[in-house]
Amino acid sequence: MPDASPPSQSTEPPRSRDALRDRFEDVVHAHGARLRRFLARYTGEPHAAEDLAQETFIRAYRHLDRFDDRRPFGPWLFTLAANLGRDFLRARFRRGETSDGLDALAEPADGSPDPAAALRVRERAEALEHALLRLPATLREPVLLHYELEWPVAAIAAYLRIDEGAVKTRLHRARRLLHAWLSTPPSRSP
Amino acid sequence: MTPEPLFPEDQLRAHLQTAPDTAPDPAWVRAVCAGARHTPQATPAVRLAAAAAVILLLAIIAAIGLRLFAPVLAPVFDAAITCGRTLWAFSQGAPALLADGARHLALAPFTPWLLLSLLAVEFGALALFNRHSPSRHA
Repeated sequence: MPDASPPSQSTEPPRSRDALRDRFEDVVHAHGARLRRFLARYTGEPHAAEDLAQETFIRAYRHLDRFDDRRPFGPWLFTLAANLGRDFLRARFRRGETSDGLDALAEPADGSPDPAAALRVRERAEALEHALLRLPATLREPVLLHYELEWPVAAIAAYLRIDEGAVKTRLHRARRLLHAWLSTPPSRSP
Repeated sequence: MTPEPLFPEDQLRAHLQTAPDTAPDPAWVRAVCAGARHTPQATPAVRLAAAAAVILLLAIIAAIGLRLFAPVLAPVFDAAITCGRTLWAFSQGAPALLADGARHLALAPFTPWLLLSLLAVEFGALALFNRHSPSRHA
């Protein structure tokens, strides 16, 4: 079944717009898992993240002519994803809904030979993942943009249309909350 | 004063930037690519035709609206025409006509200076609006 074979991973990732269009399967394969996880965290809805990731790739493909291929593709793609994530959060806020399915984000155990150590690593990662999803969206957004996508504070401020001081305050509050939640016995109910 | 305890940045960064262990399902990848490639995209000709259709529709709606609401709109148009004449007269340096226009609008106390101030405020507001108009990344 030739179609099921993974895209060519040994070659350089496509950079030009034409190459991105021609080898879009490589693009989806390279960014798909990370994009889905980013959207799951961003929205707090792992089940919606798959649809949002698909929509992100479709938008990226349709608007490739707007992409400046002198710049890296990843940040552009993740900006599209963040836009869709924000729209999703706004819509959910208007509907008055809350997030669900936190367990779907749980990290798989790593390949450590010591099962007890692997379990501890997994538990720590799960606790942090749960804590991140417990953060209000207004705090989680800058955390993901800054610590996952490495956006500078100024870029986040421009994107969220708030000043840089507010971004720093939100990052500070998020880290304070994470510390408080993770240094006390875990509570599964937010 | 002891510093506030915060979650370490390096741990947060390391956790968030850890690459997912699982590659995306090839079937999902294929479905996404098929969806992207087969999503209908408007060609320039289609866009032009759509824009023309929208403009035509708006023109028809406007014509019907003008016809239906002519009695209500007539004074508004009169006022707008008078206002336009007044502005034209002002630009031509004819204060007498301006005063005449102001009387027409039953705005007798209005002086040319007041009108000028209103214009300045309006242009200022427009400039501010443009400066703060929202724009999105990407």
